[in-house]
Amino acid sequence: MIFLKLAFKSIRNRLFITSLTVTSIALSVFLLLSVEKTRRLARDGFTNAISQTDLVVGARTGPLNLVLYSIFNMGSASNNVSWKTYQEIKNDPAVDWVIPYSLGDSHRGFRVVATDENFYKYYRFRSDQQVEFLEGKAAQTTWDVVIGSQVQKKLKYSLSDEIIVTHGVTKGEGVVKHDDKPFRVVGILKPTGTAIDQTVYITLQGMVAMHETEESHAHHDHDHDHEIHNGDISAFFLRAKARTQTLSLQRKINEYTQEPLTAVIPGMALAELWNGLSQVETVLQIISIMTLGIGLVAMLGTLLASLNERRREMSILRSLGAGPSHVALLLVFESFILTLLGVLLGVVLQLSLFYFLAGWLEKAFGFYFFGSSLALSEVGYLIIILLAGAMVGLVPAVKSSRAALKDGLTAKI
Amino acid sequence: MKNFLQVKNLKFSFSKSKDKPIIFIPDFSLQSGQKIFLHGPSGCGKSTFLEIISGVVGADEGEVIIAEQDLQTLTPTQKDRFRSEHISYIFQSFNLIPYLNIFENITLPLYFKKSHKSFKDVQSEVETLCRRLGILNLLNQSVSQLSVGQQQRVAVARALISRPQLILADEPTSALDFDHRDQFLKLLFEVCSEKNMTLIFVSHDHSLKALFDQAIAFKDINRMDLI
Repeated sequence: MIFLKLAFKSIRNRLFITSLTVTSIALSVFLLLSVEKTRRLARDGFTNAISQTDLVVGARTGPLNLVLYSIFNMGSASNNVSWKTYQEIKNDPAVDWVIPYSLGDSHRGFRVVATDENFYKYYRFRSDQQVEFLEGKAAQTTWDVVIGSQVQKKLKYSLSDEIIVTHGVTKGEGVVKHDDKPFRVVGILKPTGTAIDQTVYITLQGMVAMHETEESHAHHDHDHDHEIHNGDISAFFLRAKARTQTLSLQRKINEYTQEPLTAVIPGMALAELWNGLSQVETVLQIISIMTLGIGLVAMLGTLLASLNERRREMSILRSLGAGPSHVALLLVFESFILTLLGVLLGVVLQLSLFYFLAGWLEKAFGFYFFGSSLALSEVGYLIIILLAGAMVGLVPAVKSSRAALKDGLTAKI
Repeated sequence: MKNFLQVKNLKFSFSKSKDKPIIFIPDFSLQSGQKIFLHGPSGCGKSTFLEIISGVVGADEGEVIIAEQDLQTLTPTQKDRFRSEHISYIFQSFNLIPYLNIFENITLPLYFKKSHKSFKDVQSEVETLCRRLGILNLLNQSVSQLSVGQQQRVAVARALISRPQLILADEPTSALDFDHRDQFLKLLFEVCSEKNMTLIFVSHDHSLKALFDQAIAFKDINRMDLI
């Protein structure tokens, strides 16, 4: 095929300018894909902060509030779930497992969560990631404590260090210090990029024991309400035996007669919450579109410049009997090849860079990569780029078909 | 004998000034195998006239008949095809494509023709032609390795490979020194005579006049005074 031969030989002949063109296209594609990927990760990272949990259950409250304090450690529980109710739901035949979550205390600005071994066993985020230990093991006995990676990083704790837990959630000195009850660090968690990193985990017994001894010290004068009484918990995560039972369980819990409860499906609540924060996504989307626009203009510019140089060549071909359609086909084919090379290079660049930098980005910024490497919308953008790149070949083609044959063939004075 | 080229009442103007034509040729004809020398000052419309004959530029009025085909009745695509079948152009600079080798340069016009020949036929035809032109040993070289004299032979070979019936040469010798110019013309004439090709040769160089069958001043056929 003469067009392949002409196009490839011509590209090879102008290797310097064509490689510049390809590089500029590749960089545009790289930038676009990076922005798009960031956008995707921001959304997915948010909505995948918890997974494999069918329902989050707490005392009667708004679904957003429940999700915020149980998953993101933001705000506080307005009320507790009684231990009796928790046990009853836990033993429901439709329930596979539950993870209790008890809030209310803090340690130097970090939240303290009381939970049990199910947390280490069943808690999942980003579809199938689970809590892993950098050092040590799960909290088992009353005074055991496990800390998240950010807690470790900031407070420089190591295994066996003793720490003091404060009542109430404050920065620095707490309202009441449980001075006489030092906890011992038995485990340090690996970074997860979720709220887990900023949390201190103790056992349910630990929390109960801490408050019981406090009561016996007869601090009757402090007037703040305890969130924790007799092992009440703030919330719990629940997994149904079969996903089809989720809705009936949710209805059952919401209509529970002994005490007012709220059960929400976390995925739905998180998606709803994200939509509330959609401005973030809109901004990133605008950046994407601007990147695409600027990239296209720059790309069309370089392609046009390199094609304009070839007017003489096109005139020669015309004089040898090539019709305007031949010339157009050749130019379109050539700019398509250049664009294709640029797009492929950009994709390879983006994928390999993210692949090599993923570890570092995770460590340094808690920026996690997961999910597919190319989303459908990104493929759509790439097709737009390819088409625009091919079409730009038409501009000089139309120009050369209008120009007189002699144009560009004789030296102009 | 029938005329190979027949031009009647041809009018042409640049699109912006339809009322002011720059070419009006009431009657002009050539017979097959004729070699004519066309001269005239720069900008008088000679090159445009060649472009009209080759079908690259359409005339406003009149008829251009080549080998019994009226160009004005053809669509642009048909004109391109007709040109690639019947007409070859030779320019001042040889206009070889720098990144193709000599063989590829010579055979380039064949790709735009309707009827493709087999590679074997093309190969033997190129070899015959190049042996005749003394450039057989250069076929795999690149254009930049050739001397001016060799480049002009390649340009002639490229003009002849598609066996045109009409060769339009637009000041092909103006960039050549005296020796090369003579060699070039000799070669061109020999091949034209052999194949009975018609040649229209446009030039300023009146010293060449005598070599042609006929010398025509463009103003004698372009009768602007009659409008």
